[in-house]
Amino acid sequence: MNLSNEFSLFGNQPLFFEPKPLGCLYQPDIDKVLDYSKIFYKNKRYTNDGELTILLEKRLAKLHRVKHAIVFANGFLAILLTIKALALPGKTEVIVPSLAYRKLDDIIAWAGLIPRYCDIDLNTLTASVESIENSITENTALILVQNSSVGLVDINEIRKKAKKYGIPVINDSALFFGKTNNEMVGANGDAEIFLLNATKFINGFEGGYVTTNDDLLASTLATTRRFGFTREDNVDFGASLNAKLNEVHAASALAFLDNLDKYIINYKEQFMAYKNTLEGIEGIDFIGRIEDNGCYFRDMGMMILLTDKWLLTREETISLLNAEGILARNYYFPLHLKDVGYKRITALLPNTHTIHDRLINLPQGAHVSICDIYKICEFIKKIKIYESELKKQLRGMNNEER
Amino acid sequence: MRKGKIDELSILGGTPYFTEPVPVGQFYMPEYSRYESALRDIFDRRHYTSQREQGPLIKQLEARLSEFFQVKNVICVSNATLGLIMLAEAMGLTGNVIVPSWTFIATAQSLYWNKITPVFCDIDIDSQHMALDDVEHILSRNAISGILGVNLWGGAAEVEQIELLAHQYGVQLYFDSAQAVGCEINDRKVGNFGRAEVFSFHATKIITATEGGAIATNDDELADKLRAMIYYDFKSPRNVKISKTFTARLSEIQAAIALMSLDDFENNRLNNKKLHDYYIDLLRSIPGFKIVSPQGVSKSNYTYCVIRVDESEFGLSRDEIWHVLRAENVLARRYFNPPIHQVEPFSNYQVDASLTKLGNTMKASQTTLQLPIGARVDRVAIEKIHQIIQLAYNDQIAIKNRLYH
Repeated sequence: MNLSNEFSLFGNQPLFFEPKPLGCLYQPDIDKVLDYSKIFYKNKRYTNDGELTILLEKRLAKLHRVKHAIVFANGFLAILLTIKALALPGKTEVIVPSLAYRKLDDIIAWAGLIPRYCDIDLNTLTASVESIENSITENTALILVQNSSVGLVDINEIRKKAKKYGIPVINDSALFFGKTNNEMVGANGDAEIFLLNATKFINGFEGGYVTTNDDLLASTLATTRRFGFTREDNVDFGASLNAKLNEVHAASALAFLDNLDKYIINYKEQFMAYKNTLEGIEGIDFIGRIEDNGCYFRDMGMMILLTDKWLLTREETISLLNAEGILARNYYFPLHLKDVGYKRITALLPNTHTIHDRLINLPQGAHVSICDIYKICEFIKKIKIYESELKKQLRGMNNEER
Repeated sequence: MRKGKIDELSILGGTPYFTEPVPVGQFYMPEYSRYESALRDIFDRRHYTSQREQGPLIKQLEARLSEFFQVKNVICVSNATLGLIMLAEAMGLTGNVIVPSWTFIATAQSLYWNKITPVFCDIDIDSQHMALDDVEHILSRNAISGILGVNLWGGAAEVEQIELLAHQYGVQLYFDSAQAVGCEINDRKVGNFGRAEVFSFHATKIITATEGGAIATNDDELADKLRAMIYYDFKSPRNVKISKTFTARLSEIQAAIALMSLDDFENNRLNNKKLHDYYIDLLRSIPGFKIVSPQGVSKSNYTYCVIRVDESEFGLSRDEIWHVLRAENVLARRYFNPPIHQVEPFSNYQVDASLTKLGNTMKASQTTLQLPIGARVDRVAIEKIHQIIQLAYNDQIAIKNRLYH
């Protein structure tokens, strides 16, 4: 079996000369972006709660059917300032799932608090209610959960548990935008976080926003993101910084929202193409999920799980894919295994350990056509066909290198 | 109304002299056609922001800024405040850090996020920069781990002397140079002093990215730490370790705007200088209303027109003339008021009871005024502002009566 005729890793031409990325990179209509830009050029206000920023917040609040949407320079700062606003005073710990966004625990540390990792539910890959409950202590200041790329947090249950102790809940929904059971997702915790980042869904270049129905939280965040100024020359919240969104980014986000449906339709098409074409490949489970009555989008939503019928490791599989220009990547690396310089608390996290190194995200978004998806799936089938030989040669290669 | 002259001050019943508000701030945004061109370029390339490593325009901007500042490393960030926060973390600062109270609040906030206690020093009343004897006084009496110097108003602190002090006492030194983009001290570009400096590219600054900033340092290891904090795929040849990451990326469109703004720098600086000189010329005749000229620099960016209002000579207080100007649609500012050491949580820090009571800072906070200078102002506007101030000086009794009834 001559692998060099079939696989770029062994010398063949790559399947895609222009690599297929993971980031969505949907492009708003440039003429709309320019039309919005003419507004800030006319009123000469390029940041600091400009007209477009205010308009964007109104539109996002309406879209999410919440009272308030507050925009920020990026999602990291959105979460940081929300944690600071909500964390119970005098308490020190934040419960956060380990299988989550790689910076969530860093953000908790910047907020001056200690991450306490909890386990996930294997079905939704979100923080398990049981594990959260087991993690609550007298030191718990806040619970920070995240919608995964294949499931939604059981927010009602978590809120119920948290309410018993008066613990606030923040839900990071950077990976999910849309409806479930005909209800728009937003303001599902005390606060929910979304992004305006080109690599995620809404392309505002860089940015993030919080949705909430809590009036006090909304006004606090609007203040702490601009140095704490409540009016000119008056600072009321010293524990503030600069997390303002500028008008250019707002213009791009607004233009994107004008054509929202187009991108959601594209997502669904890509999802179905992967789901149907990956059907029946032994060793691969396509675990991407569509919500009931949803019109929506998921980042990293084209997810496959390698079962024990798949003979290669995840790393080997990804090397083969990447060599072809298919920029598939690992899902999150468990936070509790990450090397950091601050204190954190962990426990046994069996579900996280079971699943984390068997998950792969496949390319989606503006740079990926349906035809590309068929090619990617066919290539995965090819890996399965040549599996034994690949395993032999890949591990043989490694042995020689030693 | 007589053409070209103000009849009656708005605060006394007249109509505002300016029909459109005139704000403080540079606002030299590159014109729309250039912006459109840059945006189309980015959309063609389909590269909108940095992901795991710097985007192409960020790389270009950092290279050009490195050349502009004559500094080895420039790391672009979303804004100067985040740059200061990241820098304190990367420098490993803890404990007590000396910083003037006389600065923008963000300077002190950057210390708060790193759990550092600011120890406020006073300023020299004339230059409005850090008083060296005060800095030394604090260093000699307290456990200090660093100094965060500030370069204000298009001028600079006595940075070389502060460097000597820092070296003598073995403390780290870095600078908030948000306002000092393009300034030079003894012909050396600001950006080269201390261990690192942070610049701002806010819409009100001479180089703009709408929001933006940059950290400049000649310290390669420090630069690597900062890059490792922002960029996931960054691999340092020096094998640096970081404690935690941060997100403070500048987007490609922000970089494009900053590049155009950098192209315009010298033209804008010269325009600022012309406007600044004209202010000096016209205001010369008004007693007690003096421009604080940029100090401590061999080259200034002239981005501020700072006035020290002496009520005993001018007749009106700073706040009273501020009201007069506001009524005419001149959005003069009263930075920095209230001073940081009076704002929570900073007012709660007590490091050394014998420290100076920050008398010069207090005085400055009650008497300093900033007038507009930049793209929103021309010679005619400055003449009008001069007329307003002249008329206010003449009508001071009527104004005081109006304000207190």
